[in-house]
This record gives sequence, C-alpha cells and structure tokens, in this order.
Amino acid sequence: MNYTLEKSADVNIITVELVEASLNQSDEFKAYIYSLIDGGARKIVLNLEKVLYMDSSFIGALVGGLKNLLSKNGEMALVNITSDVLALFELTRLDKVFHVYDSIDDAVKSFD
Amino acid sequence: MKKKILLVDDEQMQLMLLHKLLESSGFIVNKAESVLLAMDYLAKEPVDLIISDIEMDQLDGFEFREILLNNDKLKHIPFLFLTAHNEQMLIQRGLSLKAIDYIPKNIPKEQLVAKINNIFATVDNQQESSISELKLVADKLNLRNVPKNNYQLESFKIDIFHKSFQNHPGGDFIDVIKINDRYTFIVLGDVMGKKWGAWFFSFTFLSYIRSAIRICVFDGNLSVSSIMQKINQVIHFDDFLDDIYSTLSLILIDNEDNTITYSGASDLPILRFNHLTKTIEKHKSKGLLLGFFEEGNFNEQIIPLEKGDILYLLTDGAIDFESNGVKKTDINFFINQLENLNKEDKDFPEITTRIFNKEKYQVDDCSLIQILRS
Repeated sequence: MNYTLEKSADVNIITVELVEASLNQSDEFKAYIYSLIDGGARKIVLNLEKVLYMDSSFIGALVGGLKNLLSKNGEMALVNITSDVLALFELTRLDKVFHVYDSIDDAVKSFD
Repeated sequence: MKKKILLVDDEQMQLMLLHKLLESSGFIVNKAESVLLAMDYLAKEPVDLIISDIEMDQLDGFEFREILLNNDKLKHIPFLFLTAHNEQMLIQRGLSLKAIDYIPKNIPKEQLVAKINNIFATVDNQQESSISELKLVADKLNLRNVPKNNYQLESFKIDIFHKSFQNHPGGDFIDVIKINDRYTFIVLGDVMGKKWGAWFFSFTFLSYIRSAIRICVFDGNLSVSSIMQKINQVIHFDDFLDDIYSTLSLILIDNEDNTITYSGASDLPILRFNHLTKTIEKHKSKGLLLGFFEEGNFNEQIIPLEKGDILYLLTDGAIDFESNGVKKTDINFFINQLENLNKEDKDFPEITTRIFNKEKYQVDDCSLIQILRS
C-alpha cells in the first residue's frame, strides 16, 4: 500500500510512502482520501517526508481532497514537506491554500 | 527514454543474470522475487514490460497473469513468460492468458533483446496510430488549445513554444486575444493532470476565460486582476469543474503605452530578461488556484519592459524533468539556462531547442511564451 494510516485520537495521520507522487498514483490517492472522509475522518495530517517529486496531477488530487474535507468542515495539514516540493508549493502559492507544518506534533496541535 | 522492464522470478541467480543482460542492453530493469513483491512494485511504478517465470512458490506465473488481467490499470502491460520447459500444454495455457510470447530461459542474448525491441516497437506503433486518429478528429473539429501561429504586434513580438508529453495532448492551454490595435491579452494556463483528461477540460477553462475577457472589455474593464477574479468566480461555482483545477497567467499588452500588466493564479513566476544587465528576474503574482476559493486574492503588476527586454511565461512542464531515472522540479536550473542563452543572443527557436532536448527528458507537456519588446 502506498499510504500508511495512524490514528491519534480523532486525527488521521497519513504517511505517503512514495518517492515520486505523480499521475500514476493520483487517482488511487484521491480515492483513498475520499474514502477516509466518507468514513468520517475530519482531521487529516499528511506526512510527505518521503515524497521528493510531486507532479501537478498529484497536487490536483491533494487539492481535491482538501476541498472535499473543507466542504465537510474538516481540516487538513501537510507536514515534513521536502525542499523541492516545498519550493514548488511556495512558487505557486499552494502554501497559502494548505496549512503547512514542520512536524506531525505541530500539525496535530493546530487542530486543537 | 529508456524502457522499464520488471523481472519476476524466485530463482535469484536467474534474476541476476537476466537483470545484468537486459541492463547492459539499455533497459531500466527492476526485479521481484515473488508475485506479491511484483504487485507491490507495480502499485508504485508503471513499467513497459513484465517478464515472469511460470514456476514459482506461493503464486505462480499463471496466477500472476490472471491477477494482472483483472486489474484495469495493469492488464495492458505487455507480458512475457519465461520458461525452462517447452511443453505445449504450458505454452497453450499462457497464450490463452493473453501473454505475448514465451522465452526459453536459455535464449541467446541477441534473440532476447531483438524480441523485446520488437514488442516495444509494436506497442509504440499502435499507440501512435490511435493518437493520430484522435488528433485527426480534433483537427477536423478545429479543437485547438494552443495557437498555431506566432504574433507580431507593433512594439512586441510574441513567440509560442508548446511540446506535448509523449505525443499526447495535455492540459496546457494558450490563447492570444487581440481586442484592437492597442490591447492584446495573452493567456497561459495549465489544467492539473495529464494527457486527454486535462486536454478535455482545458477547453472549458479557455471558453470561460475568453468570455470573461470579452465581457469585461465590453464593460470598459481592462484590469487583469479584476478579470481574473471574474474567471475565478465563474469556475468556483461551476459544479462541472468541481474537482478540476487550473493555474493561469494573464497578460495585457498595451501597444500604445508599451506597458505589460500581469496577474496570475498559482502560476509560476513570469521571467523578465533585462537586456542591459543581462540578467533574469522573477515576477511573482499573489493569486491562488483558479476556482478554489470564492476570492482568489489576485493582484496585478505592471512589468517594465524596455526595448530589447524579453518576458517569458511558462508552465510547470518547463521546469520538471527526468535525469538518470529521477524526476525533479528546478526553476533555478531553467532560469540559468535561459539567462545564459539570452546572454549569447540566441533566438527563440534555438533557445527552445537547446533547453528542451533529449538529455533533459520531459515528464509533462510544457509551454513557453516569449514576449520581446521590439
């Protein structure tokens, strides 16, 4: 499985186990996030420490998941974004669309 | 681009031999010692060909093939069986599972490589033929999301470069909308996604953008940030585009005042080459992804462009590339290349030929627009 799920109280911490997150995994990822939300998840932390490259298809799936969650009054946070991916997020202002944190603890606390 | 092959065999020695042989023939080769490990690998990485042994512990090659045939994403990957036997019954069973062929384990290297190259050539030909047919239909319907021509205005020359990814149409879209002799809008967008899906939605975005520009201009509104917000609102409330996102760079050229005004939505910075200092500087916009929020936080800025200066608009495909099997996004690398080529006074065709070459393998469709103040 490309995603590992851990629970900390009502927070769902998902680690993306991909080095390259791209078109090939974007549909699967979107379906995974949507199924979690359908199952009642409202607080999601995405740990991206292993992702060294992310293409626009995967970013589209990420944005789709966020919009779905926001429409249900949920919250999403991204953590441990690697430097190249973070640079792309900053260049394209996606760091203003997502809440970005340096650690899982910081992200979990932000939901309090 | 090198083709990727997945080898599946529970005999380590056989795996190593074949791995070495195929790698030395120019393929990227990955190994899996069981069907389960192969499935794990395929969930993460697509490959161009699977070569699998038949007799393996737990799940054998036939069962592996059946699993693949039941998986919509994986069933079309060409599949070869590797066998130590020449039994008719085994061969028949494999071929009935739509395996392309059998390879005896003792096949000479030249024959094996020739067989694999033939498979890749056949697959590529079939793919090209299907794409050609679709393109023909798109051309007949005059469906075009990138203009064919370059444009010469009184004080500005506009050159357009667009390269599709693996010959598939993609989500990049470009438009040049000449309002009158004074005002011309340039639109560069990128629908998130690749190939046909993104291509299809690019037309919806384009028609909204064209309409918004025309309506705003008709009302006397030439503010690019205000036009951007109009486009953003329409897309935000359109259920059809609920889950589809696009970036956008919007430029207004004023041929009379010789000014350029710019607004962007989650686009890459536009780049200005200053012909006096011979350097490139980035101009970032503040706008957020088109349609995500009701208010997109769009700003507009006037970009100073003196005679000889050049402005570049680009999509992410221009800064994404694959090198030695590793994908990267690197805008600074791109800027350095562009700056050096401009210092050498290279023209646009040479710049694009030099930057988008075979050594820098593309991973997405890419677009670059050059606006030269002449």
